[in-house]
Amino acid sequence: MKMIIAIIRPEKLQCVKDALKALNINGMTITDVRGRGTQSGLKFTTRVGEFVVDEIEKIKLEIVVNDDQENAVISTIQKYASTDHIGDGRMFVVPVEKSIRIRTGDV
Amino acid sequence: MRTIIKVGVCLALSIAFLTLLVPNVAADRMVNIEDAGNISWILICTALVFIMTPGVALFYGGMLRKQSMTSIMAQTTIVIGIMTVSWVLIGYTLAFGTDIHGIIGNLEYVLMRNLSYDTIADGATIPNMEFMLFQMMFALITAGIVLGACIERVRFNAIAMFIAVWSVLVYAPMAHWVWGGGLFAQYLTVLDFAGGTVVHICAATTGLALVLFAGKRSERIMKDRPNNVPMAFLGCALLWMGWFGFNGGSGLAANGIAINAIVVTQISAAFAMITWAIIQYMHVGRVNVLGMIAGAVAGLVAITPAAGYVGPTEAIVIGIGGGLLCYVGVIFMRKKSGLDDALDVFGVHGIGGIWGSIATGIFALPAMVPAGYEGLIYGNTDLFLGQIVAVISTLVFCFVVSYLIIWVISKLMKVTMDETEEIIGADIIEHGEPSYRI
Repeated sequence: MKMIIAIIRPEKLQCVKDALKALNINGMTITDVRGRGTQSGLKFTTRVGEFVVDEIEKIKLEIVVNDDQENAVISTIQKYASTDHIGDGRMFVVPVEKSIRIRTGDV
Repeated sequence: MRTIIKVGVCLALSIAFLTLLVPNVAADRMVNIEDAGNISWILICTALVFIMTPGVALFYGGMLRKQSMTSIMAQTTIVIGIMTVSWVLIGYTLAFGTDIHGIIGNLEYVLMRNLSYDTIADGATIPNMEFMLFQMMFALITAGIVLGACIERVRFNAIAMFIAVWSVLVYAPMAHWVWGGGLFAQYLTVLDFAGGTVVHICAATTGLALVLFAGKRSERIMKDRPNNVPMAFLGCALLWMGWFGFNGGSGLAANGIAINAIVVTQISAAFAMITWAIIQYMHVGRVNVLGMIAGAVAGLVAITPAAGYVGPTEAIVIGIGGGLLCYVGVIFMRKKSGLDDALDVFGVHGIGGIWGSIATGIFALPAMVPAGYEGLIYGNTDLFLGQIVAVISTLVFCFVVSYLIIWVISKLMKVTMDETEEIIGADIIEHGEPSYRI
C-alpha cells in the first residue's frame, strides 16, 4: 500500500475529488494547510516597497491506495490539479505498513 | 497621490473662502422643554442608524471568504470617515441648503455654518444641527451598502477615492431632489419616507455600476463558502435594530408616526423573512440563516419608503412582496445576469427598494398622507406614476454618474486587483492584516 500526499490549489479540490471518484477512489483526508514552494512565495509591491507572501494557502490530500492504483491516482491528480502555472503544488508517495478498519479491526 | 493631496487642499481652501461670502442667518425660536421628547428621540435614532454601518460590514464580511474579512471592515471604516468629512464640509449644504433651480442646495451650511443647536426653525421639530447629524448617518449607511457589491475586486484606495467623489456628485443631489426640496419634490408627486430611492436604490445602482466596471472576481475564489455565519447574523441583528431608528426617526418627531413606522417595519421584516424561508424550503429543501437574514433585510428595505404612509395591513403585503421579489431578484442576479454582485446588493437593496417605492405609490393611506398623495388603490394615479418616474430617474442618474466617476478614477489609479492578488486576498495584499489564522 502507498500513501499519496498531494499539496494542491484549494480551488482544484472539487475537480480532483470528482476525478478520483470516477476511478472509484473515495477515501481521503483533506486538510487546510499553508506553506511555500521552491520559489519561496509571491512578491508584491506597495507604495513604500516590496513584500513577500510566503505562507500560501493550499489543500493537503492524503490518500491510501493499493500499489496497483498508485500510478492511476498520481496521474489523475496531476492532470486535474494542474494549471500550468507556478504554485500548482507537489505530490509525495510514502509506503504504508498496515491499514486497519477501526469498527471491525480488519487489516 | 501628490496631485490628489493638492486637489484636496485647493478644495478645502476654496470651501473655506466661500463660507466667508455667505451671511449668517438669524434662526427662529429657542428650544424649550416641550422639545425634549423630539430631540431625545432623534438623538437615539441617530445612534441607532450609525450602528447600521459597522453592522453592514459584519453582515457582509461574514458572507465573504475568510481572506476578505479585514478588507470589508477597512473599506467600511474609511467610508465612515469620508462620508462624515464630506457631509460636514459640503454634502449637507448641497443636499439641504436653500434650493437652487431644483438642482442642488446652496452653500449656506458649508463647514456647518448657520446650523444651530438651540433654536428650532418654523415648522421644524428639532434644531437643524440635530437634523444634519441624523441625516449624516443616512449618508454613511448608503455608502456602506455600496461596498458589498464590488468587494474582493476593487482596491481600497480606489473605493475611498470613489466614495469621496460620489458623496458630492451622487448622494448629495439625490438627497436634495427627494428630501431637500429639489427636482423630485418640485415636479413629481413622490413620497420617500426613510430612503427607498435615496438610500437603497441609489446604493444598489451605484454598486451595480461598480460591478459592471470592475468585472467578475476570479472563478478561483467565487466558490468559497461564507467564512463566518455568526458574524453575518450579528451584522443583521445590528441592521435590524438600527432600522427602528432609520424608519422610526424619519418622521423627525417622537409621535404616533414613529410608533407606526416601527410597527410596520417589524411586521414587514417578519413577513419577508418567513416568505423567504418558505420559498427557500420549497426551492432547495433546506432553510438556512443566510437566507433568512437576507429575507429580513429585504423586508426592511421594502418598507423603508412606505413606513410613514401605510399601516400594519399594507406592511404585510409589502413584506411578503419584498421577500418574494428579492428572492427572485437574487437568483436572477446570480444565475442569469452574468454580473458578479458579490453580496446581492442589487438583488436585495435594489429590487427591495424598487418594490417598496412602487408599493408606496399603491398603498399610501389617505389618512396618513397630504391630499393628492393617496395610493393607487384609492383611485389616485399621480403618486403611483410619480413613484415610478422617481425610481427610473434614480436608477439612471446613479448608474450613469457612478460609472463615469469610477471610469475617471481608473485613469488615475489601479481600480481592481489582479488574479494573483485576489487569490491571496485583500486582507494580506492591501492591509497586511489577516482577520484569522487558518
